[in-house]
Amino acid sequence: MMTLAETTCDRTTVIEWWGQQCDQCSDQVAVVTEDREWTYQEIDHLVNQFAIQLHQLGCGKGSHVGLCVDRSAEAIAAMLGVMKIGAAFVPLDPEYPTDRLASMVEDAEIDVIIGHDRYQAELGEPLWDARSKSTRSKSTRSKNTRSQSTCTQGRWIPCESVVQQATSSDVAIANEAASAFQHESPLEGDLAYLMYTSGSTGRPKGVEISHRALVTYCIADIECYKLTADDRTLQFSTLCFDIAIEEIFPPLLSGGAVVIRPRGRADQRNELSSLVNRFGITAVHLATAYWHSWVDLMVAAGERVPQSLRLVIATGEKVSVAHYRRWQSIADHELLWCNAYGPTEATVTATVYIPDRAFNQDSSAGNMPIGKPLPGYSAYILDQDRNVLNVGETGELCIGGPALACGYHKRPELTQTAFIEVAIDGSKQRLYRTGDLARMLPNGNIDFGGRFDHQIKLGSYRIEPGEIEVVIDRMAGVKESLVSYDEVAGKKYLVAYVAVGSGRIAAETSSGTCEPEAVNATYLAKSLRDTLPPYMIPARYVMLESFPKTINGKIDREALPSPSTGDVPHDANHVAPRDSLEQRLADLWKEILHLPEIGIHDDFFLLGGSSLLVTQVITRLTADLSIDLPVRDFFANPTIATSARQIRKLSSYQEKPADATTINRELDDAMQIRARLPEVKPAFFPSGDHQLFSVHYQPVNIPSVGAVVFANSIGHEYTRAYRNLQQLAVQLCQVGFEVLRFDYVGTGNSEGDCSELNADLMRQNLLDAKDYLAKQTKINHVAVVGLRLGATVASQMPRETFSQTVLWDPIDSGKTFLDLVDRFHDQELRELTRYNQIRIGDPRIDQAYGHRMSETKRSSIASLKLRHCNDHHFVSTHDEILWEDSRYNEAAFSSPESFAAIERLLISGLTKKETRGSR
Amino acid sequence: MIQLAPPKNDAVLFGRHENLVGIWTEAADHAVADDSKTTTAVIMVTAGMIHHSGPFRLHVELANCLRHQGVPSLRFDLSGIGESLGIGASGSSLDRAADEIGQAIDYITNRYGIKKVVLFGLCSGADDSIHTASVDDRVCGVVSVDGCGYRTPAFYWHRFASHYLPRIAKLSKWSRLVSRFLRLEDSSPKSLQVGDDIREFPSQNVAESQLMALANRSVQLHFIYTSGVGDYYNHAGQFQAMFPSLSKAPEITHCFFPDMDHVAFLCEDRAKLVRHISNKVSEMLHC
Repeated sequence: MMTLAETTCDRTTVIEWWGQQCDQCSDQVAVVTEDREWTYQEIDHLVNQFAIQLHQLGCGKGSHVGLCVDRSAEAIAAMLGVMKIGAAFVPLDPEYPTDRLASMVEDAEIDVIIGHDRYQAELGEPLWDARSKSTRSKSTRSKNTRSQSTCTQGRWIPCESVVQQATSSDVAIANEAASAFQHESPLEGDLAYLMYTSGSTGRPKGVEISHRALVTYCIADIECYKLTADDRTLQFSTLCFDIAIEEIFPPLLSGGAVVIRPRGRADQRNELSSLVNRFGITAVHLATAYWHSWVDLMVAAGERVPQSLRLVIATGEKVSVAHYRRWQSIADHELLWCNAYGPTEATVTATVYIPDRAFNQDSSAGNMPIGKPLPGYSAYILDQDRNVLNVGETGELCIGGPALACGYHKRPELTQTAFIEVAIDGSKQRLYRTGDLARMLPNGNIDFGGRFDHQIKLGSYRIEPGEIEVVIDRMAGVKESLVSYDEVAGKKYLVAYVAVGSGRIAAETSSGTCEPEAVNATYLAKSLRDTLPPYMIPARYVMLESFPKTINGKIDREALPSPSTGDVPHDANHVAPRDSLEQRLADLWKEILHLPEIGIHDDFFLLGGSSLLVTQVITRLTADLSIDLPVRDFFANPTIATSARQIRKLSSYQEKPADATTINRELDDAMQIRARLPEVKPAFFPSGDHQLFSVHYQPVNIPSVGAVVFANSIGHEYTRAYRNLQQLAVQLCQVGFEVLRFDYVGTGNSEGDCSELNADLMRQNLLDAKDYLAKQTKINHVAVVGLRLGATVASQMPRETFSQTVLWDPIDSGKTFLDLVDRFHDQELRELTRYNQIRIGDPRIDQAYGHRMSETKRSSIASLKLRHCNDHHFVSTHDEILWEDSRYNEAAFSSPESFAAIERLLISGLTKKETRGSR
Repeated sequence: MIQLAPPKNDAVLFGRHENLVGIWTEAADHAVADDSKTTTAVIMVTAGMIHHSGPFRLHVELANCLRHQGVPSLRFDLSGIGESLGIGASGSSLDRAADEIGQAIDYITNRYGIKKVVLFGLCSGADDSIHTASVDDRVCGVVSVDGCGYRTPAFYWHRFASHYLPRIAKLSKWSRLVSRFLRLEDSSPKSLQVGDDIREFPSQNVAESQLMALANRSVQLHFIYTSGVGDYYNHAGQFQAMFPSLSKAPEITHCFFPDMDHVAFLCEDRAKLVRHISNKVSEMLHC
C-alpha cells in the first residue's frame, strides 16, 4: 500500500503525476464517452493542444482560466491543459445566471475561457463586458496590474476546435510544442483550481486549492477507496461541484477510466443503474440526496444494486439510516459503501465512514457518523476558546492537514476568520473551521450535529444566507430581509422573510409613468433568478411590515412567523399544471384549501386537506365539472397529477393501454409522493399477557425532535378516529416527531377479547406503548395526545409519565361515553335504518354499538374521570367532528385546525423542555 | 362469541412503495393436518373505506377462526385506506385493487411459501375480489359478502313487502321524510356513506360471463347476501334469477341472511358470519 510520506515525496503536482501515469499506461482507456473511448495518450495529446493554445494567448503561471464546459473528455483535458502551463482553472457553470458568472470572471480576473461553441454567443459578450468594465475601473484607480496578466483580453477557446486540431495534428509535433512551456510547470504551492461557493457578503467566494492540497487529497482518496487501474468511475456531477474533482483526478491518477455521463435527458427511469450496467461502471460518487432517490427507485422497481459496482460513495449531506438499511436489502454482493464528508475548503473529502459489521447489525442505530479523517487529514472538535474537547463533548468540527485550501481569493479577512492557527499538543496547526457541530465518539468516529452558524446546508450545497439577503435588500421596496430554512416532508427549503414597510415599489409602466405595485413572492423570486443560481432561490416568502427585534436591536428569530404563512412564488421548485384538467383541479384545490399556489405533485393531505374537505372536492368536481371521482380513488391519488390521471382513465375517451412512458411517469409520480411521507413500521409489542398492534411513524431525512404516543378512543369512536390520527401522525413527522399509534387490548388489531378491556388495562397499555416508543427511538421524554376516552385515560396517568399531555376532545367521564354508545346501539336496533325489522339483540350478550361489553368493563370504564390539573392551557378550534351524530362513519372526520394546534402545543412543549434543561 | 387461543400475528409492511400495511396470521400448529392447507391462505380485502381490522373487528375474528382451522390469512389495507399510505397508484379502483392484492400475494408467496389464495371481501371488497380472481390465476376461491347484484322482477315485490311495508307504520320515518322534503334536516354527505360511490358493478351480462369463466377455471365461488343491501338484493332466490346460467355450476354457491345487516353489527350476527365463512373456506380447500 502506498503511504502518504512516500507519495508526497515524489509527486508534488497533479500534472507531474498525470505525466507519470501517461508513461505507464499510455494505451489504456482513460476516458469513456457515449461515442468513443480515449486512451491516456489521446487525452494527453488533447491536454497538450489546450496547453499550446493557452500558452499562445499568453496564459501562464498565476493565470486563471475559466472553464465553461459540460461533462466531457475535452473538459478533463482542459483542466489538465490549464495546469500544464502553471495556471489554475475556474469552473463556470453555464447554467448559472450571467450576472453571477460575470462576478466570478471579474473576481478571478479571468481573461481566457475554454468553452463549448454553444455557450459563446450567449455568455461570451456579457462576461467580457463585465470583465473590461472592472479592468477599466481598476486601472483608473491604480496603475498596478497583475504582473502575470499578459493575456489578450476576452478570448474564448472553443473546445470543439481544439479537439479537431488534436485529431488532425501530429502527436510528436504537439509534444515538442508543449515542451516549450515546460518551464511553466507549477510548483506544489501553486493553485490548481479556484472553486466558487456561496459567500455571506452577497458575492460568491473563490476557494483556492493548491497542487499540494489536491495531491494530498488524491493520495488519500486512492488509498481509502482502494482505487486501481481496473476501476471505471462514473463522472456524474456537474463540474462546478467538487464531487467532479473526486470523480476525475483520483481515478485517472490510479490508471483507471472515467466514464462520462451522457448529456441530454435520459430515457430510462433508472438512469444511474442503466449507465452502470451499460458501461460496466465500478465506482460512483453521488450527492446523498441523489443516492437516497436511487435507493428508493430501485426498491420501488424491485431492482437490485448493479453487479459491476464495487464502490459507492454518498456525500454532501446526512445519510438516512433507513435508506442505508434498504440499500443493504437490495445489495446482493460485497462492495465498499462509504459516507463521505468534506467542505470545498478541505479539498473535497475530509472524513469517511465505512459502516462496520457492528453498525450493519445494529438495527437500532438511528444516526450514521461521518467517520474518521482520511490519511493526511486531521480533525478536532474545538470549543469556543479553541480548546480541543474530550470524547463525547459537542463543539465545532475543525479540519487540518496539507489538503486545506490556501484561503479565499482576495478575501484576507474571511480567510483569517475561517482558517485559524491552534496550538495542539504543543505544536501549531492550521485548521479550517467548518461551522459544523460535531462530537468525537469513543471509537474515533465523528458524529455530525448540524450547523454552528446560520449557514444552510441544502442538498449538496452550503449556502450563506447573507449572500441572498444582500441581493434581496438591494431590491426596490425592500427594507430588510432574513433568509432561513424550513423542512417539510424531510425536504429542506429556503424561506425569505422580507420587511417591506408600506409594501410597495415603483414599477415603470409602458407609458413611462410609475405605478405602485406590491412586493410579492413572484417578483422577488423572479428578480433573484437574475443573480443567483436556482438552488439559492427561496421557495417561500414571508412579507412583514418590519422585523421583530430583540432588546439588543437584532432580529428576533424566535418571534418570526411560521414559514407556512409565507407565499410561494409561481415558479420556484413548483410544477405548474400541465393541461386544462390539472389547471381546473389546481384552481379547485386552491379555493378549498385557501392556498395561493399548489403544484401538481403536492399532497392534498400534507397541504392541510382533510376527509371532509375531500367531500368538498368530490362534490365540486361533480357539480362544477361533471366529473365523477370515487372517494377512495381520491384517497389513493392525493395529488393533482395523479388525480387528473385517474380522472382521465375513468373517462371513456381514453381507454387505450398505457405506454412505457406513461407507466414510468406514473411510477415517478408515486415515488415523489412516497418520498414525502414518513417511514412506517407496523409491529406488535407486549403489554401484560397480550401483544398490541402499533404503527410507528418516523420522520424521513430530518432529525427527530421528539416522540409522541397517540391514545385513541375505543369502540365506535376508534373507527371514526384512526384515519385522522394517521393524518396527524404524518403531519407531526413532517416537523420531526416520532409517532406511535397503537390499539388497546381487544380493540383494532390487538390481541385479546373485546369484553376484557378495562380502565386499568388501558392505562397499562398506554404506559407500555410509551416505553416501547422510548426504546425504539431512544427518546426518553415522550408526549401523549389523547383523543376522547383516550384523553380521559391519558389525563389519569402519573404526571411524570409523559413530558407533555395533550387532551383532544376529552370526555369528562366514562359514563358519558357509555351512555352515548348505548344510545347509538339502541337507535340502530330500533330505527329501521340498518334492519327491516326491529331487532332485539341476544340477551345473553352484553354489547354496545357493535362491541362486546361485560359488567367489569362497564363499571371500570364508567369510573373513568377526567383529571383536571392547574397547569393547563385551552385551545379552541372550529373543526366539526360531531361525535354525537350517529350518522357519521370514519371518513367524516375533519380537524385541520386541531392538527395545527396540536403541532404548536407539542413544539412549544419541546421549547419549554429545552429551557428547563438549560436552566 | 368465539373463544380461541391467542393467534400468532406478524405486522407486515410490503408493496412496491413500502406503503401497504397488514397482519399475517399463521395457522395454529395443532390445526395443520396436511400440506394443502399450509400453502393456501385467505386474503381479506379492504371493505369500502374500513380499516383492515374489519367492521367491528370482523376480519380479526375471522383470522382467528381460520387459524384454528389450519388456514393462515392476511388482512391488509389498500393504499389510501386504513394504515396504508396513498401514493398515487392509478387505474380504476378495481384494477388498482387487483394490482395491490397481487402485490400482497407476491409478498406472502415469497415470505410464507403460499401458492394459492382464497379472497374474502365484503362490499367493495367483494367486487375487488371477483375482479382480482379474473386476472390472477393464483386465486382459487372467493367468498363474497354483499357483492354485485341486479334487480329482478321479484325484487320489487320483496322491496315493497320487506322494506316499505314495515316502515309505513313508523312515525319517525314519516317525520324524517317530511323534514327532508322541507330541507329541515341536514343530510349527511352522500359520498361519506358506506357502500355508495365506491362500488363498481359490471353490467349483468358481463358479471355472468365473468363468473362463468371463473367457474370454468375451477375457482370456487361463494356469495353471501344480507338485507343490508336491500336496495339491490333482497330475497333468497335472487341470485338464481340474476344469473340463471350459473345455477348448474357446482363451483358457485350462494346464500341469503335476511336478518343480518351489511356489516354484521350485532356480535351474534358476526359470530354466525365468521363461522359460515370459515366453513366455506374449509370446503373450498377440500374440493
